[in-house]
Amino acid sequence: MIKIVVCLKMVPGKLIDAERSGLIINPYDLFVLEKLAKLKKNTDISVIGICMGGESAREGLVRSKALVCDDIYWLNDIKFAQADTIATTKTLSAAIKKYIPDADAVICGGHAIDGETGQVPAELSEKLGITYFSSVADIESFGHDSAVIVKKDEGHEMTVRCRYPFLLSVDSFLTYASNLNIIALKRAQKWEYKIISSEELGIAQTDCGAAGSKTKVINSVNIIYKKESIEVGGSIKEKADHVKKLLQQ
Amino acid sequence: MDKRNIWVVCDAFDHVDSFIGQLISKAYQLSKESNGCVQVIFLGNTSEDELKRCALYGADEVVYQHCETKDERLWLDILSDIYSSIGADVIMFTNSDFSKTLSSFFASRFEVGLTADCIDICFEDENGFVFERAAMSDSVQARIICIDSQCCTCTVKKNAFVENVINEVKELSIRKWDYKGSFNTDDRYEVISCVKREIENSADLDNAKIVFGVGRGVKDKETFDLICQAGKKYNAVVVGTKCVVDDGLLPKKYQVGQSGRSIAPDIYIAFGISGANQHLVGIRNSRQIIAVNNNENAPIFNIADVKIVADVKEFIKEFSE
Amino acid sequence: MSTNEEMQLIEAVREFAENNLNDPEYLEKFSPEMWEKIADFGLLGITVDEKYGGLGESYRTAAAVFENLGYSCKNNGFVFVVNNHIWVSQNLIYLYGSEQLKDKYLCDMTAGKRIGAICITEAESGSDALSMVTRAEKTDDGYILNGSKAFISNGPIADIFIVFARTGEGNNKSFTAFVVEKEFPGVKIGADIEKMGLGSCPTSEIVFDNCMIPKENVLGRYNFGSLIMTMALEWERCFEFVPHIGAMRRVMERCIEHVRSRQQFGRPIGDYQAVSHKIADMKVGIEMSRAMLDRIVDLKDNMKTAFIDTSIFKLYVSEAYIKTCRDAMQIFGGYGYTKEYDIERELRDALACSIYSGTNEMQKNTIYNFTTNGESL
Repeated sequence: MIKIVVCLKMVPGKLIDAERSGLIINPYDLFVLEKLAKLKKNTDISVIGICMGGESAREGLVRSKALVCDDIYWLNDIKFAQADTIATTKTLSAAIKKYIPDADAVICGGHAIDGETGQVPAELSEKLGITYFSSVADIESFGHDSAVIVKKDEGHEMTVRCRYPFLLSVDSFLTYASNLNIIALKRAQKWEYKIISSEELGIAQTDCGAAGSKTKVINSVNIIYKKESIEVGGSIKEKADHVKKLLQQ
Repeated sequence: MDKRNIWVVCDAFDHVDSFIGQLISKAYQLSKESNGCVQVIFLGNTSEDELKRCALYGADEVVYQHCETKDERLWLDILSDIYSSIGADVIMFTNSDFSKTLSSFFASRFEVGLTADCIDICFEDENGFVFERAAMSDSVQARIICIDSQCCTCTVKKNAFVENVINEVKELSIRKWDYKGSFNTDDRYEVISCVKREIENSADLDNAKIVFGVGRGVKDKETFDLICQAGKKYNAVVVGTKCVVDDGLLPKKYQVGQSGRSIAPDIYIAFGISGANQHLVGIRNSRQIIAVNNNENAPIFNIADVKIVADVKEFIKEFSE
Repeated sequence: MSTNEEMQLIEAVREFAENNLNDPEYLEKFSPEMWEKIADFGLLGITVDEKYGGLGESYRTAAAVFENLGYSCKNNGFVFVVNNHIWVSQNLIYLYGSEQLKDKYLCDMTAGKRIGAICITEAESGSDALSMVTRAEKTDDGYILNGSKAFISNGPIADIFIVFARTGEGNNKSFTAFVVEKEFPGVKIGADIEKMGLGSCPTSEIVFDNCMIPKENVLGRYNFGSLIMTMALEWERCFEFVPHIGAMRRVMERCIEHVRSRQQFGRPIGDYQAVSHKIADMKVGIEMSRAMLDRIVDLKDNMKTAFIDTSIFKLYVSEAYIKTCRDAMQIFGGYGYTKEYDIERELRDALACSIYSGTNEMQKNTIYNFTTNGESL
């Protein structure tokens, strides 16, 4: 049985669909779940989800359980909140070391669409001391001592065999999981989700949340340029001409 | 007090490229504000003349470690070696994939603050070094400081800073580093095959500089055909939202935003796309987004750089003249 | 099931339908891949007990799910296929079959491995169903079935048929319901019949030529097929029409979008009452249908009969649905008449509903008879 840990983050649904409220599974993580669901059909793999989040993460966790997760560790404690990437990494690594120390693979979405730093996967691999593979576009198979992945970067597409244990940062995303089955969804709704507090995890206060962060946002300013769209006025012809000019540049 | 060490980690391997030039220029500016010393950490294989070019932008010192391979783990070890020896207060990395990984490894190993994709850095008396980055989902810029952190690290966005040759003549010292650790080629993985990514006719979205997006607001074939024609003229790839693919106007491989593809062309023109759906995930990283929609309150205008309120059909007719 | 959980289920169904069931190439052609997807999704056994591979949900939840399926899936013919399979084939075995029959067929049906259909109508007996001539003769090992059934929805793709055949001796007009497998000797499936609408629901004649049926394949009691038929009609009148409420919503929303943007004489056409009143009618149709459905699922979840309620429901929903689509075409004007806008397909699909599950005229007869027979109102 190959043990695979998937790091999950729930992000605002609004980011992909203005009419959606609540949190959804980060699309990059969803791609991973969907891929593992497909591979699970003919490979003996055990998928364990880990998620740092509050009660609002429940719906996404139910989906994750319904899709493929055999088990889920829900790190839900106010002390974990407001963590920067260093604190997040320390928390996740503590959980992995405690609950799945024999993981063969740890897979993370390349970045979360609400933060976009993309730092946690590499940081986590360093903390766990396992080989890191970034820009993973696809996972082909899991063998008994290694897996085959497809990496895409800078003009090359490489098929690589990676020996366990390793950590993948996946760059493909999905906004819809076709492997979802409603019978599984119903069962996932009835399941008992283990909530893990900071005490249960045994992590020092200075290692998680805001207290464990090494960066802090001191304030935010509105951007005066970019994303403040310039409205082009005038007749249709004038508008069209404006765009033509932009394309000429 | 001791001078602050402001590092620029060069990842170009065999030369000092303009991206590094930008970083060194910024480091120079910061050094003036914070009583700092600009050190370029150069790992790779290059000539002394090339290293001397760092002085043009204001570097005080270059620490050079000759290296045969460009590998994140090896560079992490070398960087750690240098850091443990001479220390740094600020470390600037480029935001290339390589440096993103390298900086993450470093920050995790030493548990120091790391700010990604900086668009500005300044030095303030009360706050120390302040890093600015755009918060992705909002039109706000976050200002970040490092707390309880031995040094501040960051990756910098390309062209956030300006390459600036300084006026004064600088004494540049070049220190050759002698890393004693060994580097074993990683036997933990094996490349089975490696192919250069081909451009599949004009459908390689990843390389397209100009992309036209078609949404529900393109109601008929005539309008759609005009957009495609215009696309050919500007060598643009035409993609569509899920609705458009469902209606049979475009084949599924041109669907953007539902799965997999995240495109980042220089210019993306959205025709009749409301922006109220998953399409946005795929196009967010475009350099410039121009949106044409007849509804002035369409959500796409929240992420568009250029807003055009017009009927798509009439617009494309004018546009195609 | 809590409201939250029901919402999650509905959300999942909506997402599933939007992403898998709206392939423009198969809007009027049956797609086996689409069937496989909905089977894998796990929707088919929605009210069937978990031990037979179902979801074990209430009729109330099933109604909410199917209304949303009708809304999100614009392939009305496909929804029709699914409904025929579930409510008047699979579920009849589930509710009225022997343990033996349930064990034999249910798991395959909830998994979508075998598709179901119901055979009542014949060439000469539509509304006058009880005058059917298909006959089943008792033998030592079972029965021999002879006759033919017409306009069988799902006919060409079905594996399991619920067939009603005359079994009474002499003047006895009794008939029996049988479970007939496509593989039984003597089953002949006709060619696909081209229809005005619901193109993705294959329809054909089924001929039974000395078809041998094993003893145990009687559904319910021998000679008591009328009970099964009554129940089948009740389920059909309810659940075939639930998705139509969703379809009405979909068509209405398209109209609303259109009347806001389409301008004539300098104003959006939604400003004109001749147009806006049509949309108001659509909304009334939807809400009234829902109100009746609410009552029906309550009765069914409490195992009570809803015979007359479903007849009224069927009559009302079919009329509202057809009117909605007809008005939609009028609202879209010239565009509505073109193939491109798909409104004409919605109308073509809708027109069948005043005919199937018992014509609207027959419903009125049923309602009149009930009302005037002194039953309490």
